[in-house]
Amino acid sequence: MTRGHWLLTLLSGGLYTFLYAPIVVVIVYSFNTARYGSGWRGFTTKWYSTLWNNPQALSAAENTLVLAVASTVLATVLGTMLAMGLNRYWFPAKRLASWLLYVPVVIPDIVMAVAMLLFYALLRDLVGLFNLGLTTMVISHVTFQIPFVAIVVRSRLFGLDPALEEAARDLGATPWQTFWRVTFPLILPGVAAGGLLAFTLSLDDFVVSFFTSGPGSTTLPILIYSSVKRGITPDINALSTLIILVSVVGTVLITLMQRAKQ
Amino acid sequence: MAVEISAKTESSAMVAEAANPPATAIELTGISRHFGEVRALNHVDLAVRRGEFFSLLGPSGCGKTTLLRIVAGLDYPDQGTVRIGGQDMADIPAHLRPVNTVFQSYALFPHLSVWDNIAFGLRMKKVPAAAQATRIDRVMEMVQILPLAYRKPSQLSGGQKQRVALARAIVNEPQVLLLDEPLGALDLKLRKQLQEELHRLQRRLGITFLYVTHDQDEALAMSDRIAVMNHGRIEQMDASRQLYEQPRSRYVAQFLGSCNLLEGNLCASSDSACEAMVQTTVGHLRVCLNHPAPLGSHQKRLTLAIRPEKVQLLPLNGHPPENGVRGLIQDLIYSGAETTCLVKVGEWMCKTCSLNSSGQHQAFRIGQEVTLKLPADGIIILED
Repeated sequence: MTRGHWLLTLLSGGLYTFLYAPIVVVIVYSFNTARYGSGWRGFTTKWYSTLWNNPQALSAAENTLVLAVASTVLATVLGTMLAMGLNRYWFPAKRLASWLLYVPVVIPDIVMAVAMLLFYALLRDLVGLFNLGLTTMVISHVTFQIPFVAIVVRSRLFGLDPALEEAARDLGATPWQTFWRVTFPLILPGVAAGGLLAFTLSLDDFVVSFFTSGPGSTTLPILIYSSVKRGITPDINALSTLIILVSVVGTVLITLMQRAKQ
Repeated sequence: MAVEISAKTESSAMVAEAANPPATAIELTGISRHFGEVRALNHVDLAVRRGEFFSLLGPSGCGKTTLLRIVAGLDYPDQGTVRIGGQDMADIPAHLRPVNTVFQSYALFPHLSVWDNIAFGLRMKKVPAAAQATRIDRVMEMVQILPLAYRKPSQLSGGQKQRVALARAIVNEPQVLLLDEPLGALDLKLRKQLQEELHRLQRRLGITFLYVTHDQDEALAMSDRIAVMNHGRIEQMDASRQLYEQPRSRYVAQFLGSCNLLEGNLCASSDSACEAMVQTTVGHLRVCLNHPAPLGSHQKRLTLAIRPEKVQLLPLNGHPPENGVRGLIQDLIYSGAETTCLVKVGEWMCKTCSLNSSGQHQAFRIGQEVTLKLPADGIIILED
């Protein structure tokens, strides 16, 4: 082994420690008996049961799930339709439309959140609807999820031989039958991966949720944020550990589905 | 057995023809199609008879595939009408047309098994399950893919995919089968074998085949009639033999097989005698005409064509024969069944070729002076 190799190993090790140590600390401390301080006082799972008996945490978990599921379903349907439209049809300013797709991806979350807040305020003045709450949160989440779904589905559509759909039509399938029997099964891995990506994005989102939430629509990230202001408690560590778990499972599933592409 | 059946269909077709006007499977009138500035098809008229093996032959970009797609309903003409079985197809979308297509890329559904691929069309037409199974079994047997029923397309070889694509189309018993270079992706030996099978299958089924290819040998070997296409137009449309023996233009003469071309001026022609004298760079040649045709005025520029296998190679001795010219052998190319010989006559390079079993070339060697006989009935007068 050369000296250069050792240095590189050391550097990579350091980098990974820097990335993962905080996460490991959170997970470890979620099992620490001590309520205050950083000393290790023994193993316990009581913070998880505390969480289970905390009505605030439970309602936040429910809100988070409702928000994530509702927004993901909407965003997956709309994002898939958008990808199909961009892939199939020619229309004026199509190139512009494709570029605009990436704007919500690169724009800072905070800008998006403030823009949403302003937009809802404006709409409230005009039509009296759009009071902040779960509905506005769902709309906001769908807005930032759509591009991710559309980009993933579109890459799948690019790889699809157009002759397959022509063959279906040629064999007597109506456009509707062609979509459900040929196109959809073939782009399903892309649709599912896009949907899961949207789901994890919604689950983790704090900034947009924080700005567009109303009374009674607190989600887990918002709950954590407001609890942390009063000091980090072990049950927040437990909650964070659970969120990490769900995100990791989601990411692994996305990777598996992307692999199913090949 | 196949021969028997074909003889029967032919005779019944003749009976039908005697009773009614000839049945037309596909009738295209004035079809034009533009892609931006590019004219893909330019006022194409075409009539394919029922039960016929009809080929569209031409280089890539000549519009043959576009024409096929227009018949299938996968593309629409800017102008012109498409009739299939006498019915106007203007308002009939692809999925309701009585035709099926074998695609160049096969386009087998990758998520379905071979069986489900073949069943696709029958399911769309809601054919009862029992009838489906019988029909699928029958075509799978016909194209010899019975053992592959539960495979996925990714587990098939090129030739097997081709057979599945064919089975998937013919199981629907279309009025017309459209084939878009179906053998293009296969190697030569397999292509030859499948050519023969396709030809037999067409006779056995009696379905009209509209076949697109850029391979002239393939078109000649299989077709009843061929339309040679160039730049979105049909250059000539005739029976295979007619097309090869009597090409009307340089393009057709050179696209189908090889051809020696010779420029000349008309010296004399008589409308009744079916012959003409043409002055060329290699001397005066007498040309026999198949049928009397007005060739135009004296001194008119003409292009003559003669196929290499019609040119006779003779030793110098003796009396020069009619239409005999002297030349020097430049090259002899042996290729198994036949030998090709390049002979230089002045500035003109003439290609001859003969079967080795005929022994014609064996007496000659490179550099030898010879007499070329250009038989009067082997010379074709081209229109351009």
